Amino acid sequence: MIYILQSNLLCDYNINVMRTRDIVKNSIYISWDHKLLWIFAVLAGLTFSNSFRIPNSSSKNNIKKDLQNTEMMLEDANQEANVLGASTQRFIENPKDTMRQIFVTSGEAIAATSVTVTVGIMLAVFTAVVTRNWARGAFVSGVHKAVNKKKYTLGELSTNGRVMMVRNFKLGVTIILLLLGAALLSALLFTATAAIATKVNWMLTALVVISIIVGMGIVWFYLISTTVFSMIFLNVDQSRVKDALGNGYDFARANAHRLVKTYLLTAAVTLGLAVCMLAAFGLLVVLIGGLGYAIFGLVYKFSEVTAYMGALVAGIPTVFVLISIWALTKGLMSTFKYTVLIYLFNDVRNSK
Amino acid sequence: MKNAGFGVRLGAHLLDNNIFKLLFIIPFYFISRSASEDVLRAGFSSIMLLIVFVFGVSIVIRTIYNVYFVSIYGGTLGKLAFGLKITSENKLLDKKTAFYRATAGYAFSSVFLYLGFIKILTNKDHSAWHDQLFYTNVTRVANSTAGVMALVALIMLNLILFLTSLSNFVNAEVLAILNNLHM
Repeated sequence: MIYILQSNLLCDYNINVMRTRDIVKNSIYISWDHKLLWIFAVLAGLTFSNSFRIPNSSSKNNIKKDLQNTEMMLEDANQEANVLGASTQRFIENPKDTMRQIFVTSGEAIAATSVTVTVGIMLAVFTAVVTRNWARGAFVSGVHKAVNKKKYTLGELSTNGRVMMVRNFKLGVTIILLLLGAALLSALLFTATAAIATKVNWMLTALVVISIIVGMGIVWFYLISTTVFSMIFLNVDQSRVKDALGNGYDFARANAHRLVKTYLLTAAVTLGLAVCMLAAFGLLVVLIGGLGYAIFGLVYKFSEVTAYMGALVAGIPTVFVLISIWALTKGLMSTFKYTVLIYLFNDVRNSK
Repeated sequence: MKNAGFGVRLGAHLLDNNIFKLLFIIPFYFISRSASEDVLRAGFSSIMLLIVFVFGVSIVIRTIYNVYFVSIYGGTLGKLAFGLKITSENKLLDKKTAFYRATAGYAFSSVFLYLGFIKILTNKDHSAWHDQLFYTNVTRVANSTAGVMALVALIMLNLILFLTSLSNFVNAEVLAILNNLHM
């Protein structure tokens, strides 16, 4: 009896492993065949680094680093000013003062510019929010149709995106608040428990720290899974935000075991894909850069000005092309990840 | 009704672009006319402010301009001059659709090397991706002579104003250097 039970469990486990592998394999083909979805993914900002970003101090550190870099660049500019011509030197011999001068010219000019720039930024943010949430709805419904082997047009996806835009925005805000709350709670819990434990003894402290890290890992796993699947529920079922969040959480709780396996397998494939893409991208940069440097060197021998002008004219489109390729690579990866998750979502639903 | 071809739509786009370039170049030209050593010394910050100001204004105006003209007249000035009309199911676009088309639609078409615009060349019905996304058609309702003439005139005007401004600045710069040498 025990043997039969064990063999059944083993059998079921093996079927699941096969299924997960098949899901990942099929998802690679699907995401490769539906290239237009990559663009939706790019616009939706559905990369793991973007949608699952946990607010921390690293961004502040980056700003600090950027400021330090700017200071260093300004110092470099000071040094370069000695080499450049007299007229240019006047403007960059003291860049800090020049920058200050720009912002302290006249009250009216600053006020007018501030208002315009603020209105411009607000419009840009509004446009970005609209585009992002529209693209999310279109992307998830597109991937769902692709997984179900249904045909779709750009118009249909766009209409879905428009219908679900406001709800996607509401879900996004709710999730950000949830993540922020969880981050705050984790930090408070961690600090308080560690502070109490250090007063007792170091063994207990280590134990508490490890258990908190494990606990936080589990909480974050459920939070992220709920985030992803509530978005899938919202856009596939066109349900309400509250229902989608509840369904997402229930789904994550009921399929935690399969989700861990799927995440690990997806992460491995994505890592492999990233390494391949990075190698190809690096090779492209080296090739273009090398060719550009060689041509620049040849032209520089005859005319310094022409060489710099050529570098400027050719450099801008090259950077533009490289950025586009990089963005699409990220789009492909996001499409793959979400195809796997929607495939899994479908598989669980169909098996019921 | 068949969609307009790539050439006419490119012409209309260039005309719109040149109208907005004029927004930049006119103030640049007037500053350059009064350019002197003092202006170059003290006015650098003002020029920078002006550029930021005009750039900010142009972003705001361009979006509002696009949505307003497309929903009220069926096309931007460039498109109207080239005899083009944007419709959806033979009706003018409502403001929401015009906004989506001008923001999300254009973003989608331009994300990867403007492939969505290049699709006008390869698609049988000459529709761009942003047309397919929002079920819009860009049809030709009149000839493009006025548009072509306006485009040529604006390109020439922009070029002349830009080169004149540049030469004004260079002259002022040379004078400033000569003054410094004499001192």
